[in-house]
Amino acid sequence: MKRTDLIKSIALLLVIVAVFSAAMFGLNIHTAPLIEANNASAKFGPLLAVLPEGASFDADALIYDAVAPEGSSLTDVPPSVTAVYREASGLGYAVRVTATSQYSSAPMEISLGVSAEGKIFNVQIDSYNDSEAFDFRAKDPEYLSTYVDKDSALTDVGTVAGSTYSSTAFKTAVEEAMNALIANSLIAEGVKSDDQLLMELLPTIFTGMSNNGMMQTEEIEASGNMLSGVKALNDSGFAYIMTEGDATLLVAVNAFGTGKVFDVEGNDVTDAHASLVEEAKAHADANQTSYEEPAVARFEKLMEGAANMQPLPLDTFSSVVAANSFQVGEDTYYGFCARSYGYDIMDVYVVLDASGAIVKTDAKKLFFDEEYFNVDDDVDQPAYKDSFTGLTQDTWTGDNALIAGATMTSNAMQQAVTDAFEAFQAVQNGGTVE
Amino acid sequence: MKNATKSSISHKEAAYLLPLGAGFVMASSADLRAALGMGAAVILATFLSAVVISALRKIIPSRAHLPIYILIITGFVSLIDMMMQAYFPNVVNMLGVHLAALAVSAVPYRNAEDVAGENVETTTIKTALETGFLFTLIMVLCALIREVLGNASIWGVSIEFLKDYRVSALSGVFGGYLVLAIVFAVIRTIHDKTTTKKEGTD
Amino acid sequence: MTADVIFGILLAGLLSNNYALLHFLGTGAVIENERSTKKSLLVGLGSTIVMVLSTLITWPLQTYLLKDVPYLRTMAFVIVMLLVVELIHLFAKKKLEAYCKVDFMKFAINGAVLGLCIHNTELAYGEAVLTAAAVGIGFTLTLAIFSKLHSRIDEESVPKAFRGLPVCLLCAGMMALALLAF
Repeated sequence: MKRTDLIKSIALLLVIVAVFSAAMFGLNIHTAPLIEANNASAKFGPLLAVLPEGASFDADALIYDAVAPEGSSLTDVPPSVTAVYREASGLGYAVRVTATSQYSSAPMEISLGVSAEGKIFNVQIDSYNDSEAFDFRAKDPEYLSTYVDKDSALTDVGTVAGSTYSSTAFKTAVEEAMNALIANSLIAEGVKSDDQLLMELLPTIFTGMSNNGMMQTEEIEASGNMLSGVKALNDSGFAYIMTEGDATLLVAVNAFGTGKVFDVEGNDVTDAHASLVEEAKAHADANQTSYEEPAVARFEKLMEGAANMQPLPLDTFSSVVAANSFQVGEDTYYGFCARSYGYDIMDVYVVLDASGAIVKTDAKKLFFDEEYFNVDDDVDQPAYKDSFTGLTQDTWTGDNALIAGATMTSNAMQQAVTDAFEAFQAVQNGGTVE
Repeated sequence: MKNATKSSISHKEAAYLLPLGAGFVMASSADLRAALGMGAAVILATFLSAVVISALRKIIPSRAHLPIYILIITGFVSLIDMMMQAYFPNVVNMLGVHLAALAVSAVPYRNAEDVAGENVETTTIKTALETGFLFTLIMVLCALIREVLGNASIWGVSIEFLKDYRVSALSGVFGGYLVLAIVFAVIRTIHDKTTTKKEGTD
Repeated sequence: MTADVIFGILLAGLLSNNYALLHFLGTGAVIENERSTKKSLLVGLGSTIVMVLSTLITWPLQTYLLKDVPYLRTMAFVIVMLLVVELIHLFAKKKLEAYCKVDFMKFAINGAVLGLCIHNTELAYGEAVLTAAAVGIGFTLTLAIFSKLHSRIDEESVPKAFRGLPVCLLCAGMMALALLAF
């Protein structure tokens, strides 16, 4: 009895397993392709979304993987690029790239689809850190579509005002992804237009307009010979792309009304284009915000008995927006107001004596409420401001401005003091920098 | 009279099965889609295995009933798993290993033990379906609370105005325990009230 | 495998990798547990052995045989579990029945074992086996703690609607909350 039970049980078990295995096998014929498609779309979904309809990937799609770069034939791939996929039918490539700006707590993950000819099919953001305040898509929902159909030159692709860091980081990431493809001869390099090349010169020519190489500008309406124009967010000046004859030129006007003209190679060609300078200066003058009045008031407050305020015309293109010389008793002093980029734009005032040593340093607001609230309590602000006193161009290293835990404020103070020294130098040379 | 005792017995059965299924209930009640997916899987697995087991009950030797029941349940769960992977991959992703673990869950197993003892096939089907639907109801209720309040979304679509008020702990592990405890307590209270009323009118 | 890794896996099994409380696998078996502490330890130990033996078998099975037939995984793993439990039952039948009249087979086939075997296929073999042991010990401990907890809950002072399962769930939830900190 027991024996037959055992045999019966085992037989029954075997039958059950066999029946279900057969059923599963049968069902698998039907479901396997569906499951495979599901798995593929989960894996390639974000990539397929940036490629034209009908695109697909095969088993060898992954041609570069940042996890194991040595296994790839691609070289010179920047670290921001995490993976490169080749589309199965030769349509083009899909690139996964990350972007980090100083505001992002986590990198933005971006999928970029590029045709074999080097034109962008589409680009999308797959993940984004959740600080929505800096989400540039919210400010300009159309921004991503400005990339569509562009080649690596990214003609007419700008940044989003108010989200400069995030959008610049995004643009840089796309550029790096394109460059990785170009470096490996997968796509052709796009040709940049003259005005693009000129605008790229701007951070080096007009340092006051940029922060860490990122332009801090907004577009303004152009007129006459101007193709386009930008205004510095810190009001340190203007830059215009202008044409004269066949030439496309960059005209920069600083906060003191000094204008300079540069050609595509970055040569100073001001003398040959005096009329352009006049036109640009007129335009700038009409749009410029003057900081002389608040600066003078501040200098008078900082230096008791300051008199005989004289505005100094500067031809520096830094963050300095106001400069005055004045007398306290017999002694001459020089006051500069620089608007550098910290957490927000900072108004920094630096007073130097005739020998070029710092007498006073002040800032309208050293720490912004949005940030550093803990540092705010810890830092002895008057002592910090006093710590600059006595420094000269020779003893100034930039490290003097460091505040632990407040990188952005440190950087802004560093920039402002450096610019003040440069401005002082310019004054000594009769208003010009050498 | 006979009917009344029958139904109260099956209610009791479902209630005693609940702790056994608490694991997958909590695991799949963070999202409404997962809850409904798991609910469907539980209903199907319980129902199909009950039908097969009650049909085979005469030829299953009692000493070997455990492996046989479990293999039958596993077979159905595997088939359901495959279908869901093909048609609802998102749900399968959310459920993860819990869908496969349903194969060895005590719920369909105890249910199978219960129905194998009964003779009428219609009651078998009824008990199995009741068990399945009770679990689905509980999972859906928990999921509604956890997804809406914990994740500020419903059916995966986010509810904007709730975003700032969400209690993210509810969609986490502790939320699973808390919400199930409350939902179960409420269901039991309502159930007790209605049955005492019925008895009163009898 | 360094000592650090071994220690880490063992600690995780007790704390952050607690299957019953945090992964919702085998939760039913734990919450329902009304056995004495001694019996709980015994069935827990049994489950740990099942976990380790099953992992020993299912890992190579998955890695070498089931690669191309993923749909057979659950079935194959369950068969392995049944065989392992049956074997233990065969060897330790007398002891098991002397100590406790629980139906060990019924208990040892639970979601924690299957879930563990599935999760473990993603690890290296050595780590997988060690994880199985660690998770088993964690499971046993949770089971024993719960058996004690059951006897300590003063049902009278619990609101009527929350007596029984709800209060057990809340206890488990609070234990989970404590473990989540790891």
